[in-house]
Amino acid sequence: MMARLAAALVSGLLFGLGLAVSQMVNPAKVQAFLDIAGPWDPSLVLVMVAGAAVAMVGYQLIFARGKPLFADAFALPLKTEIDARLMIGAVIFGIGWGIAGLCPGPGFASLVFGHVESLFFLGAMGLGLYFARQVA
Amino acid sequence: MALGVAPVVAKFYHDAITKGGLDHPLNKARPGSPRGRVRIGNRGAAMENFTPFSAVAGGALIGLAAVVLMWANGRIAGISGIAGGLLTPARGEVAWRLAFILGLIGGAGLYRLAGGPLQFLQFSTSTFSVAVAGLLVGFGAGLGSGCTSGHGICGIARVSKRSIVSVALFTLTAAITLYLIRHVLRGA
Repeated sequence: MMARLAAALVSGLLFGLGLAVSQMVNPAKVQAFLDIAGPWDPSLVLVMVAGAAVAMVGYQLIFARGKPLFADAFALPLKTEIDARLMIGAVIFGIGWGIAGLCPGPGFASLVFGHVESLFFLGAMGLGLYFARQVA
Repeated sequence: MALGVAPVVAKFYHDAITKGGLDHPLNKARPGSPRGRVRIGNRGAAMENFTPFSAVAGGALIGLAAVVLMWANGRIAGISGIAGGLLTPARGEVAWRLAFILGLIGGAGLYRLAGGPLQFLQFSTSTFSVAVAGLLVGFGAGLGSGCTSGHGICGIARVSKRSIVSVALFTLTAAITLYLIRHVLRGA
């Protein structure tokens, strides 16, 4: 139990540090990527590519081991079908991401920068997540 | 071999955190004012604010975070999924989620305490619009089973078809939304 908590804490720390180092915690930085008609900043692409590449190599090594260190099995999504919920969800998410330049990870990480916007974003995001669970 | 590389990697990250690292000369436009608003429109040279080194350095840390969580606990590092699980709490599913989110906030806090070049964020829209965006982000991620981390980092790493479709759709939609706001509605 303590090992699982410590691992989750370490993972969160690395994640938050990564969001800050890459500046993806800054809405303006994200919107500079999304705004293709402005002075375009492709940094976000490199963050995604580097993150996915490290995870891809790591996952291969981990899955080959058969099971995680502190749990009985890997909890992986089983769905493979591309359904309407996935697509409608992605479109709604995209509209929100475009408006504010914030997504859930940076929403949390942004808290330490002391802007009131973070609180409004996270409160509303919690409400949205809750509604989605009611629809499910 | 691995030990020989370690100081180089450590120096790279130390510089990235304290000085903006190799991007520094490129990254002159620091967010200086506490309540800075984004300047809209062209400001000279193309890709003036491109920060490739800190992007790769930070992205690799995010990837490493995903690896740690899968290796240790067998979980996908998807923030909307981890946070969403707290809203309908199940036995044994609360503490680790809180620990992760605490770490997520703490990691950014450590960066700020270490004097990282990014000390203030820039919001381009009103607090009300940010709240509306939060609602859409939460609902969309909940309905679509993931966000930029779960689908974007972890899903792509697993070469999940659902994740690839999701990332393509939400990136396209976000770009169109911002285009409409900045270049059509405001005419900027």
